[in-house]
Amino acid sequence: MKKHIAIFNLFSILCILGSAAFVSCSGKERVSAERAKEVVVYTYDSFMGEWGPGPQIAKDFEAATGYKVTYVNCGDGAQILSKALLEKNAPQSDVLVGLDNNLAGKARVGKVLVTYKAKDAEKVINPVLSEALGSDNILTPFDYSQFTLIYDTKSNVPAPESLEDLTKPVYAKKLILMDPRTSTPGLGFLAWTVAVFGSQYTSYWTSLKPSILTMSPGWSAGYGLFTSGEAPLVISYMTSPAYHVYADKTDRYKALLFAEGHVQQVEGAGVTNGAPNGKGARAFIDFLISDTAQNVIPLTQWMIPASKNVALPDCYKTAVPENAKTLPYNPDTLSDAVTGAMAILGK
Amino acid sequence: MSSKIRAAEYTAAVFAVLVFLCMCVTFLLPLGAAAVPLTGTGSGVSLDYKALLRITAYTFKIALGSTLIAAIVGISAAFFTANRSFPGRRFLLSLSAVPFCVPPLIIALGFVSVFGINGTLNTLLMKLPGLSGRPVTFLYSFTGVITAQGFYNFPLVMAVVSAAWEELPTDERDAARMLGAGDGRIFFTLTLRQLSPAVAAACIPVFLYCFFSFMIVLLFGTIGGTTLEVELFQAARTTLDFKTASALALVETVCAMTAIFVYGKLKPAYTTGGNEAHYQYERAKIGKALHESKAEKHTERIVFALSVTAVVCFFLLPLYGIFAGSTSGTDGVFVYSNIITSAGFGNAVRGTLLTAPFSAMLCVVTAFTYAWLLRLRDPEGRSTLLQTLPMLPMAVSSVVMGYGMGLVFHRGTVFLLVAAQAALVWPLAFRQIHAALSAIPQAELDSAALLSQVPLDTLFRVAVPACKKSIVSSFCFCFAVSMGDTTLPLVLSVPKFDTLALYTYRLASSYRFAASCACGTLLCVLCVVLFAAGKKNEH
Repeated sequence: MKKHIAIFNLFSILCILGSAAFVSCSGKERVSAERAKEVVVYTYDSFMGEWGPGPQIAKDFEAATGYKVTYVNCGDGAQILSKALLEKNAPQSDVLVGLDNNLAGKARVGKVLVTYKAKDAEKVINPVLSEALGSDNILTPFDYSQFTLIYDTKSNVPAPESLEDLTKPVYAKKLILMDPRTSTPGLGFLAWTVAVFGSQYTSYWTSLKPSILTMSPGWSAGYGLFTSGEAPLVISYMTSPAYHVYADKTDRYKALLFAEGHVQQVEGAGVTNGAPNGKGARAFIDFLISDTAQNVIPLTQWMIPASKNVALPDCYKTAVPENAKTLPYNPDTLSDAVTGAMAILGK
Repeated sequence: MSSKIRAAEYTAAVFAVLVFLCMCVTFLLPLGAAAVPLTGTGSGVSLDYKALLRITAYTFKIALGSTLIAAIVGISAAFFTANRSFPGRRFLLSLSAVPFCVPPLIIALGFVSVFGINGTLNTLLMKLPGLSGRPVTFLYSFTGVITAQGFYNFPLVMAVVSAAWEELPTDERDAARMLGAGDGRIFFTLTLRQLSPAVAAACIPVFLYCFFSFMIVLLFGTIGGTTLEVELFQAARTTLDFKTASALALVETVCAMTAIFVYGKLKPAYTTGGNEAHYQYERAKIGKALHESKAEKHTERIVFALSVTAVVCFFLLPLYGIFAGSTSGTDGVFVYSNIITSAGFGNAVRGTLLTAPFSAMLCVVTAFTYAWLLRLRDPEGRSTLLQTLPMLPMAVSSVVMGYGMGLVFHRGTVFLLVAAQAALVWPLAFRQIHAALSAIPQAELDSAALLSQVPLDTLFRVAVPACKKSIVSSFCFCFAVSMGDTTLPLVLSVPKFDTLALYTYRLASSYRFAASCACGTLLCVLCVVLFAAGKKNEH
């Protein structure tokens, strides 16, 4: 019996020591020769999915440079940043792809990215887009779109012409929003109201409340309800109808153009501070704004490529309104705005 | 007995204990890490206690309401699946793990397709004369949240209670009946008491799943409403306020644990050692049981009709809604062939098959090990601490665990994912295996111990065969949970790895809602087939 107990104890101790060793090793940086040929990219779900631009860009990048791309799915933009912050002392990634203008400030404060001015960036990228992500070049824009309301033309309500219109009784329970605490388009809509109404945004949200059918936790759930016909209006991207024209062969869903203007999401990519393969990371950023990579974006990412050189496909020309005015706003004030808006809605 | 078999038994026992210890380490390390930011310097927790109290109360209200609905529907359905024979009985039991394997987004879309503003019900009602507005609007309210969550989770209560009901000794019920007690009186005074451990075993996971619910609460609940999980998500993933996240994680875990311990104190101890082996009985048809009076038969038919209507309307129709949604796109039914032939689907199936069976195996081994040690140490179930301790992993939300794991493990591997899933899910297997082990009469174990050469004989020749059904059933449950998990694969960010649940979400986030519903339907079918196979094995 004593022998059995001794064996049991020995195995238990080995197991615990093994686990502890495994855990402690997992944090250590390992840079091997093989790793120097690999570029590890932290990104989000839809970018690296088989319909996203990720696979094609990786294939082209590998052919052009010889580097091997490994995408790591972190969920969404906020989770990419969260993961990068948590492993700041022992970075595992080389590139972060998918941080937008709302997250750029936090990435800067968290010092998870290093400055890198991509080759040809000045030539091909509109300076307004670069400016939206900050003037210090920690992020290079690769796509963008304005936020707007998508309208179901088969509904029996008229299309609103301004944010103020949405507060009219005719739109009671006709609007699907996303929760600004958990969703990028949700935060985008809040930023839009702050940009239009300034400090009066709280009064606007008080008036808007009866019009909201639901605030979904993410874009997928909200847009899914919209396409199921639950409400005729949903917050999404100006580029969303292009997908329906291209894939569903329908122009039923229209992006609304408001004279007061729209706020814009600009997505960027940056080199991780302390990246195990910094050289490969910089090559990837350069490639991401090349014509080869940028031409992949419109029909896979359903956003507008950052490069001025790309000619948009026909579905964009027919479905995405042009000349929308872009409103400036300060992303740093949004945390307080979220608290303010949620307090009004929670009453 | 040959020495080879003896050696194999010892190896298995040592392996089981090792697995159990590994699971403890895998669970406790990230949990401890999640609390670390609380000790750091910097700004304080950005949530006042009044707000915290309000949010906690709302979280409890939703979880309790949903669990109550799941319990009422689950127990009434369990009565029929355990005691009566009717067409579709086995199919209904096969649906028990569906809530675990289908992502909540897809379930929500299923409910919307039936009860939504533009759902089937409203479309039908609008054809009636005299109706101007859409009459069915309950979905976007507190009632909608608890209805969706209650019905979404009732199959779990039904499956566990039904299995326990089938195992109940009939002697006491027969004696009560002979003394003149009616079925109603027998149920409330005797059967319900006998079933209470099983009801608890089923209701605690349901309560916790609803306590940590996110998607359905935000989608259908009060606009601007918030729960502890939503606040935690915001702090850990949006505002990146890790100190507040740690504080919320602590409050949430303590609340969930308190609920479990309070129940542990209130519930009657398991009765072991006195039960005679039950005998197999023929299930009567609905309203045809010999011992029932005419009035009781009549009542039974009414309750059956009501239960069937509720289950069909609030569970089967939304499931059908998912299938209908899958064929609503431009591809029609070809969406299935398109998905199955896509490269991503193959990878997702491979990833699922690489993790779910192994995670389920680890769960079963861990659960059996603890349940057996508990049976030896506390055969009458008097120690609340020992009984409720294995529920700790269930009292920790996946957001908390993901947050802690993100702090500890920087680069995930498939092995780590399997271990992490098992470390969180094994309590689900434990409740079922523990119930089965508790049902072995003490006299049987004592006799086996006396007549065996070594103590392991009792384990391998009495306990394991007696729990065969529970082992198979809990394996299926854990398989389904692992298959439906989307949090840990994302948090651990395993490179070049995909699962069916992640694939389902990815389809939805790329405008492909019909394909996403199709993938959800395939997950459902996989789960049902798995459970049907498990049930077949039992018989």
